[in-house]
Amino acid sequence: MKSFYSEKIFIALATILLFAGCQRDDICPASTQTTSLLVIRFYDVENRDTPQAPINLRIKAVEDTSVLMLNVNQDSLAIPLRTDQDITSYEFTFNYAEEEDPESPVEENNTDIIDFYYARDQEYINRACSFKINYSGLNARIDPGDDAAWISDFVIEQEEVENENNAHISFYY
Amino acid sequence: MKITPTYLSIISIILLLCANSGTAQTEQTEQLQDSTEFKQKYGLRVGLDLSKLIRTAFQDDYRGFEVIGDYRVYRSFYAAAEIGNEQITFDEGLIRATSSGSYAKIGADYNAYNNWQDMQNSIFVGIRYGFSTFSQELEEYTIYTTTPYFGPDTRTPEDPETTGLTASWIELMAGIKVEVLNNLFLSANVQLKRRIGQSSPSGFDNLSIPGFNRTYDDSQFGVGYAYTISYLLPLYKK
Repeated sequence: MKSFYSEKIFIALATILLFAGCQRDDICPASTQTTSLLVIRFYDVENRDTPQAPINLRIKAVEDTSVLMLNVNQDSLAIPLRTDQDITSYEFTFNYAEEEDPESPVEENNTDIIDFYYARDQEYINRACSFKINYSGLNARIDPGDDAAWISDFVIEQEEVENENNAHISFYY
Repeated sequence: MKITPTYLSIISIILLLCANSGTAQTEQTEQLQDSTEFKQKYGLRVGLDLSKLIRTAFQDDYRGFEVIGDYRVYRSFYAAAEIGNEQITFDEGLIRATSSGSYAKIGADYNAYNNWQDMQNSIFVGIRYGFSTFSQELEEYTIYTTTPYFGPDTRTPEDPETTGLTASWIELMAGIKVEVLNNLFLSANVQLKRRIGQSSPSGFDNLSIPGFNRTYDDSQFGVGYAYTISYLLPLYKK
């Protein structure tokens, strides 16, 4: 009768082994907070409490050729910050038209270059999600480019960029 | 309703058989002791973990060696120990890290199998205390981002290795030992481990521990197995 106990334990251990092989902790779940995006909100410069969605906004990193976002018409958006540099420069183009005709340029088309400055700190999450970057001391600078700035003002809402729960920066135009 | 009596009869037969076999065996041993005074071998059994050797040969990310030994203390009880060295690489997804070091496990086995006469097979359960000293090298990792816009940010740390790490655990094992030739045993066992302490590299975690195998995030448990070959050096008979 004693051997029945050890057989039971054996079967139990074998079962555990079987399921241990199928553990899904090698996949990073979407609910895990990894490197945070920068959350931006746009407001009306005259009525600073009123969110105002930009028209046909195009966002593109300065040194990148590919466009991050096109035809954005919402007052809140999230963009990535570089994890390998302490600065990320984006072109924010207001009322972007796809095909620009040099003979008759679209008048409302206005590009501002925004530099985001920050410090970076890495944090280990787990084996599936690897490491994340926590940004701190967020600041920004607006370069109006060739034409006048369309973004007139900004306010840093949160210097730490560690999650996407609230806006980190507000733009007024 | 027809089935019930059948079941009852089967159960009662099984119960009877169990009861019978139990008493029969004790009678038998008594008889044997009376007539031939059969003596069982006591001694030191030493061997190797074959599974670690096989994995070393066929798995690129693994190197391991383990010496095992047990000593029959009293009837079904054995003092047992394992000493080994392992190098385990975790290389999945975004991280590549290697743990390497040595470990020792000491404890006891209990043989729950009643052998016939001079046979020495066993179905055993065991408990061990395991201790490991090791180092871990974080070879390469990629920062996790939710968008691939800026491309992967893969890093190799300047100071990748953390030395002087330790871990300890309690292990339950269950297995079988079969005497294939005189005094030569083949054995297989499975192990369930629970970590009771560890020191981790700062800003990182132990992804695997020599002797403990890979760890699981947010869990103290680990699993293992072994296929061993061992030889009994008989010291005396009792």
